[in-house]
Amino acid sequence: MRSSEDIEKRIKNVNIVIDSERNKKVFGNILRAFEKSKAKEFAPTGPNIWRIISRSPITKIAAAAMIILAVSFFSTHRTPDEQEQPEIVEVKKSPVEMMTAISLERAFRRGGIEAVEEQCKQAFKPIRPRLESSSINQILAEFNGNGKSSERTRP
Amino acid sequence: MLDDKLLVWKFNRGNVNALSRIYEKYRDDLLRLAAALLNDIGDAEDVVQDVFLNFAQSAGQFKLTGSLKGYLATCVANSARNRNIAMYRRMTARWNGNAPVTSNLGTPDQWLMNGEELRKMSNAISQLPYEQREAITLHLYGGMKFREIGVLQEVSIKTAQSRYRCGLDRLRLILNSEVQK
Repeated sequence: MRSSEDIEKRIKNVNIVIDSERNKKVFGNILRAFEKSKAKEFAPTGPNIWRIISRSPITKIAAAAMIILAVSFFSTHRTPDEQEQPEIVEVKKSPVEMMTAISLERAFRRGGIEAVEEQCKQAFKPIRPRLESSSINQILAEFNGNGKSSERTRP
Repeated sequence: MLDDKLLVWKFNRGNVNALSRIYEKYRDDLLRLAAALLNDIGDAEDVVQDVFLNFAQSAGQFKLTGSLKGYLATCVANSARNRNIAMYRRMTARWNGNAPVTSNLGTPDQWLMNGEELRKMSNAISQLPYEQREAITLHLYGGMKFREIGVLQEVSIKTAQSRYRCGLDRLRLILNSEVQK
């Protein structure tokens, strides 16, 4: 009468003798399949970064953390100018050009084409030496074509 | 286990020696398992060869989650189950007179030289119900835990254990009766 342990041992230790020639042939077939898959798998395609990331849960979490960090960094460390950028109307003219345009428009409103001519004459006059102590009002008066408008802006 | 992990790591990087070592390490147990499940040594050889061929083709993409032996044993068990189903269908068709009768003799260039002991054991195991046969062979030859066998058979651990115990008792009776003869 055999016990269960004996039966287990007997099942486990069933003797097997392998024909070495046939075994070589079988392993040769397996090796051929292996070489084929190797040629396919290890073709020079370069590393697939997405595959590396998706292979392990740790790399997945690390990649997600990196993305979150990058997004939060860019949203918090932007300069005020960059933050307001969408609200600013794009300025294509230089300040000098803008000032010239405004001064000409004011002159036209003030006195029509004659005033514009006068403004142009003044602009093309040779630059005379100025006092160091010239006030903002004087500069504005010159910008407006006469001293009257500067008087108006004074409170 | 660590050895297997290292072998699989090397195998995935195209190392032929790693494949050779895996083949030599598990070939015999897988042959025993397949022979017990199929009760035909020729079919068992084919199944094991197919399993190793598929395994070799997965080089570079193979991902080991459990034990390598368990994985290979599961492949053999699934393949054996498919073969048994196909054979059952062929036999049914033959009984109905729809299929030609084919020879079931082994091929002249068989892998196993002396399979007498294996044949006897396979015959004894083949007298068990298939679920019990699978539980015994997967546990003893495949080194699988009852939890893994339960997952494969879609039953609880307790059921897998009970199938194993019942099968073993029955096998004991079969083998004892053979000795008495």
